[in-house]
Amino acid sequence: MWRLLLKDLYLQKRRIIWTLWIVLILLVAARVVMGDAAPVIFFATAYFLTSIFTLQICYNEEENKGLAFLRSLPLSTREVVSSKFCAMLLVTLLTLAAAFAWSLSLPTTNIFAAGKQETALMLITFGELYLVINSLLIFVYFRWGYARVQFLFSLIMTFLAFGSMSLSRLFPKARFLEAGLTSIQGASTGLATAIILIFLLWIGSIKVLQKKELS
Amino acid sequence: MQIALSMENVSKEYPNFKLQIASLKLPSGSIMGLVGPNGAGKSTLIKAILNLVPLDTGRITVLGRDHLKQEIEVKQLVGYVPEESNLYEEATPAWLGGFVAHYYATWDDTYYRGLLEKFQIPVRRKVKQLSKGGKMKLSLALQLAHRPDLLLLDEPTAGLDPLARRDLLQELLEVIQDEKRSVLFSSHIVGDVEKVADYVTFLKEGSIVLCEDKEKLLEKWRQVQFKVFDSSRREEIANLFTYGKYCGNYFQGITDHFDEELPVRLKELGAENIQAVPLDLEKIMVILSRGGI
Repeated sequence: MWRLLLKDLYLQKRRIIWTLWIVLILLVAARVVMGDAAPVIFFATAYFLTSIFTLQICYNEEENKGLAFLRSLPLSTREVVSSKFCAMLLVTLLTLAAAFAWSLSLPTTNIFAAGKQETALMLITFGELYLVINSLLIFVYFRWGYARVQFLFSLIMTFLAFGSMSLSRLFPKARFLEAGLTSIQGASTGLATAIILIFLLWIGSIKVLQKKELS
Repeated sequence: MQIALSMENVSKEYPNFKLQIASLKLPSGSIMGLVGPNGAGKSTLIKAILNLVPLDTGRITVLGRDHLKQEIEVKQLVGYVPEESNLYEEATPAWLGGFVAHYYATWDDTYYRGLLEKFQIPVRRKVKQLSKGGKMKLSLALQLAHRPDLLLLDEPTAGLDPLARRDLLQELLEVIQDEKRSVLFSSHIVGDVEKVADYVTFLKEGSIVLCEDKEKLLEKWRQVQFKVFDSSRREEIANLFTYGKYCGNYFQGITDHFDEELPVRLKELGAENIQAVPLDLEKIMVILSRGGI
């Protein structure tokens, strides 16, 4: 499985390097312009990048008919699916760690400073949400192919950009959204939910790949 | 006789097509050509062996191993070259060799490097920079290098220009006849199959129409033409042939069971100037496809 994971990183190496350079320039520019508000931009960019990486590993397999190639090798479907999930998790965690490290390294933008813990927890919760979204993208890829992944990603991005602002108006009676949990309780519940969802999507992906017809 | 590949009651249904194979057996060490028009089910049949196409019913075994229960083991024994390249375009032959080598216990790196050299494939050039023939040769080298007991070739010469096709076929002939391995080779170019196959299987609309030893097949199928003046015997004569038609007193027929007795019998029935011409595989396939002359 690790070899498959390294394969994804190897095949994406040029794109990863280019993307990191562009992001670095954008982040430096954001910090110069936005000052204390910059960490939120750091994290929003980091989350977005993890989804882009997930889209890329799916696109790369689709473009090269890679699934048919991998399934013709003496490899189990579990290994193929797990490699995609592990690559996504690894890149997401590394990106988040980099974003936190960046944030901590600059005193004016330290989100763990007193009075800013709420921001930190909110960012962690959003990180969990992105892990679930990325897992969902992988599941959709194994089930329906890359075209649907793109469609779903566009919908999610549109919703996150505009729809989330209207959430309380769309669901006025959904009081559980403001159920009075402490931020730590909320983040822990979110983490548990995210783990369960990712596990279910992983199992689902294995099942659908076993039955998938590959051309 | 050991059986390299066995298919029993295999079926796979699509909205407009059904693959239905009652029985197919490939003896070890032999080369079987799978021929038929486009859409006959050749690729589906080959993919089903590797479980790339899940079956509705039926059982497939490779050297006695079930293709579902012992899937990984079966894939260790099989080399599969698809019709269209499915190799990573950004990778190089050297990297692909290293990647694939880890999954096969029998991988022979020296042999792989030798094949790349023989096929004139630069080891450091990216797959996307290779020609279609080059990609096919690379795919073949990757699959041969783990020395599979059963090699599945799905239209390896399709889409290549005549020169590249001839080169590939020549190299293919050298490497597949070099060793004692079984080969299932699909193509809609019958001439390619005729050059390499020991057995020929003809697929039409998802079913096997014919499966036979190539030499026997070519021996038994003949085009026979003669004149008949006695009109009362015409129907009896026509019944001796698989396909046939009259044009005045002239009869032209195809038989799939030619032997020395047939001309004798025809003479008894009043046939004159009998000429029996052997058919090549391509003509036989055209006749089978059309269902007549």
